[in-house]
This record gives sequence, C-alpha cells and structure tokens, in this order.
Amino acid sequence: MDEEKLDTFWNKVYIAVVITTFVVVTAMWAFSRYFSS
Amino acid sequence: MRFLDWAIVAAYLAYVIWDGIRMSKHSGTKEGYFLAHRSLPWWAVGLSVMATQLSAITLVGTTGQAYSDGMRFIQFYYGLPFAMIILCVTVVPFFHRANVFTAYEYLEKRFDVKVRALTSFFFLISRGLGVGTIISAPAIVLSIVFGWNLIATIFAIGLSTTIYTVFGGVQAVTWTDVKQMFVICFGLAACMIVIVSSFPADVSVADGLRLAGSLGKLDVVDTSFNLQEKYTIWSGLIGGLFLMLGYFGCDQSQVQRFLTAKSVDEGRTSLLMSAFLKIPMQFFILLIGVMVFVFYQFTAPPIVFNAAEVETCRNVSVCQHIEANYRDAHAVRREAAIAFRPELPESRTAYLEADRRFNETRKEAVNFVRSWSNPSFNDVNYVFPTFVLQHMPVGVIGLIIAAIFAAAMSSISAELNALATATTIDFYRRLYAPEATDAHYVAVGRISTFIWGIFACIVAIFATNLGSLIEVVNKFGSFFYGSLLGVFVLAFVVRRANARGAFFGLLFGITSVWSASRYTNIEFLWFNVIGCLVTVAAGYLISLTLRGEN
Repeated sequence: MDEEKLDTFWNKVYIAVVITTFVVVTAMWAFSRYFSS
Repeated sequence: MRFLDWAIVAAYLAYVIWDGIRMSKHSGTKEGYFLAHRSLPWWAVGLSVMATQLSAITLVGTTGQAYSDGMRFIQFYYGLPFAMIILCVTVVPFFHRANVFTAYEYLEKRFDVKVRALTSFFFLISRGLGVGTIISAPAIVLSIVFGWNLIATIFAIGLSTTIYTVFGGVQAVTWTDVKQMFVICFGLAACMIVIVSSFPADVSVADGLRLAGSLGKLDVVDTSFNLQEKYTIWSGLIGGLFLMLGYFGCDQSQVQRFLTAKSVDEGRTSLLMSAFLKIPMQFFILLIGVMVFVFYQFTAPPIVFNAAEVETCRNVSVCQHIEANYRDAHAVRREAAIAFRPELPESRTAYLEADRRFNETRKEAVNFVRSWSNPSFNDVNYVFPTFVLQHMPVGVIGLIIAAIFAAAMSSISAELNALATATTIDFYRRLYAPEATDAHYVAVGRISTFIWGIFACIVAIFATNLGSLIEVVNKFGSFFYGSLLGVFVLAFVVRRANARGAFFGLLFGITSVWSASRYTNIEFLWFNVIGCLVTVAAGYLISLTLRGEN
C-alpha cells in the first residue's frame, strides 16, 4: 500500500489551487473588460 | 436529423448501456456494487466527480442561461476550489479512515442512529427531487427531436438508465462517466467551432465578443453585495462555498465517488481535479451560450424557442402582426450589429437602442404567446437544443445529442446508485436486516435503484415547467445542503456537540431555510449559509443545554 504524502506537500498543492483560482478569475475579468470597453 | 445523426446517437447509447451492464460481473458483493472495492485510480474518480456534476442540465440549461442572462452564472462556481481544499483537509481522510459506505454512516459513529437516519432521509428527499430535474433536461431535447410525448420520453430515458445502473453498480457509473466526459468535451469543442464559423464573413470572433460585451453578456464579476441578487462574487464565494461543501462533502452522490478511490491521497487528488478545471470548463460552456446569442444577432431567432408554445397561437391574426414587428426589429438590430464599431460612440448607442427595441418587441410577443398557452412556460431550456437542431450540420447534431444523452444517463445513474446505497446501507441494513449476506444487500440495492428510478421519472414530469433547470437543481439542493453541512460541522469541529444537539439543530436549520424562502426575497445561494449557521448555532446551544441528559 502506498504511503500517504506529507501535509507539507498538500499545503503546497492547496496554495497552488488558490493562486490558480485567483489567476483564472482575474484573466476572465480582464477578458470581459477588454471586450466590454 | 439525418441517418448519420441517428447512427451516432444509437451507437453511443448502445455502447453506454452495454458497457454499464457488463460491469455487473464486478458487482457481486456489497463492497463491489456500492464502492468498487475501493480500488479506482484518482483520474477516473476525478473525471467521475466532474461528470456527475456536469449533467445534461449543464449543456442545456447553462447555455440557455448564458444566452438570456450572460456569463454572470460563472460566479456560482467561485467558491468551489476553496470548498475542495476544505474537504481534502477534513472530510476525505475522515470518511476514508472510518471505512464507511455512506457519509451518514459516519454520523452514527459520532452521534447516534437517529442523526444518521435523519440526515440520510433529507439526502434522499433532496436528491430524489434533484435527479428528476436531471432526467427532464434531455427529455425536453428528445421530445423536440422526435416530436414524442414529453412524459413518454421521460420514462424512456429514466428507465433505460435505471436498467444499466441496476446491473452495473458504482463500477458502471464511474467508467461510463469517464467515457462520457471525453464525448462531452469533443461535442462542446465541435459545437463552438461550428458556431464561430457560422458568423457572417465580415464578422470576426472578436467582433462577436464585442457585441456581447457591449450588452454586459460577458460580465463575470459583480462586486455588489445584495442578498436579493442571484449571482454576485459574494454569493458565489460565500453561498457557493457552503453549497459546494454541502454537495461534495455531504451528498452521497459525490461522497461515493471519492470513497471508491484507492487511498486518501487518490481521493484528495480526484477532488482537486475539479478545483483546477471546473471554472475554466464552465467558462467555456457559458461562452458557447454567449456565442449562440451572437449568432442570433445575424440570424433571426424564433420568437419563442419552445416551438410547441408558438403553435397554439400561430393562426391568430394578431400573432402574425406581432411576428412581423419582431422580424422588423431583428432586421434593424442586425444592421446595427453589422455596423457596430466599439470605438464609435454613436454606433454603440445605435446598437444598444436597436437591442432595446428588439427586446421590447420580443417581450410583447412572448407575453402574447403566454396569454394563449401555458403562462408559466420557460424558454431558457429550449434555446440550445433548438439552435443545435436548426443550425448544426449533419453529424454534429448527432454528436451533440449523444453527448447530452450520455451526460444525462451517467449523472442519473450516479444519483440513482447513491440513492440506492443510502437506502440499503443507512435504512435497510441498519434498521431491518443487519446480518444478511452480501448477495442479499446487492439484491436490495438493485431493487432500490429501480424504485428510485421510477420516482425520479415522476418528479421529472413536474420539473419541466419550474424555470431554468440548472437553477431548479441548485434550489432543491440549497434547501437541504446548508443544514446537512451544519451537522457535519458539528461532528468534525464542535467537540461538545452531542446527538440531541445535532438532531434538533438539523431540524432548526431546515426550518430556518424554509422560513427564509417563504418570507424573504433572499436568493437561494444564501440558503446554504443560513441553514449551516443556524444548524451549528442551534446544535451547539442545545448540546450545551442538554449535555447532562445525553
């Protein structure tokens, strides 16, 4: 059976999720602003 | 539809049903039938998680919603990545290590059997109703395609899905989900390419996006804080967070997905797949709806997309007059759209004015149709299927219909399997026959699946006129998810919470949501917040008050 990955690994993944979400929403907002102006 | 379209639809349906039924050889034990022996890889579970959520409603309802209301609906998903992180930290390891079949089984370990039975009961109500609306979406499409009676179509879809779910169990659900995700992505990509290539020669994609943008159809962030506004960044981040926590963490149809994963890590990774991919994917689906809207700037859309409603009044002379006005208004808007130059204020003003006049004319026409037919009919769900049937080329129609059909069947099967699991494990095994054999539980699971399939079909009949289908599903969910989530918060976070507190806290939570929906204008996403907070607060206070008696 595989060993579970450490919490430090998962914490980095969670931070990556938050950063990615922020970048994606910002990109969509910029897309919307660009074509609305 | 031509022969090629029929062949694609028939081939896909035959494959899905055959593929589901052949999984029955892995489903002889209750561990195999309900949890696939906890052996599935993260990518299969992750695709299944996304496919279960991305049902036919996502294709039919969301694109229609984007056509009429723009992309504001995307804000609904902003809380999802944060919900997934919270669930990866809490629920996934808790449930995996507790070795449970259902989320509610864990509540008996933490509280007592009454709390388990009550939460499972509320899940059965909310999902039993929800799966009905999931059946009604493709039934609408197919009733348009075939000209069949809607009720007969509902039973045709519901029963065929029920049959392969009865045999294949969760293995069939997961592996058909994986395949249908690829079909859906392929169908959506083909759809987008065809729409964009259908624009007039002198109109580029960027021109189309500027038209949509000038009308606010591309808005993806609304920062106003208004509890009566359906989609804002706050309702998405806060209300959506609570809804997603409730849906992915307390709803057996999703919990069962990550319980089939090989390990805690694989369960976590499967959920994080949605955290990364759901918002971009939903953006793309909504963009298709917006592109359909742009397409209809240059091609006159029907007055009402639901053709059956128009037929009731087509021969009335006033209707012909209204239709003529409508065509004129569209012709004016079409000219304004072709002449639209965003850098010229007068061209923008002319287009906005033409759009306003067109909408007024359409509103007048729709009101007239309503006065002759069903006053509560809803047009949103008919936009995308009508567009596909009238404007897509041969082959692509079949592909998209197959994708809608398959998406619906896989989502329905996941829900039916979860309903059967909760019925068998939380009620039948726990309260009636705790020592029966595996074969007996599998047989009960199969009978439960069949009964829930019939129930869902009956609900589907009533769901077709309840408004935008995607909202109907989420409204059903929001009525219960917040309060169910509150019980799990009490279980995981509040050490002093006891069984009586959790039981009555849940009842308080459900009552508070019912009161909010009955006596206020608060939009449904906030019901999740209200239900959760009231359940936790009431449960905590009752636990403190009755601590000595438990």
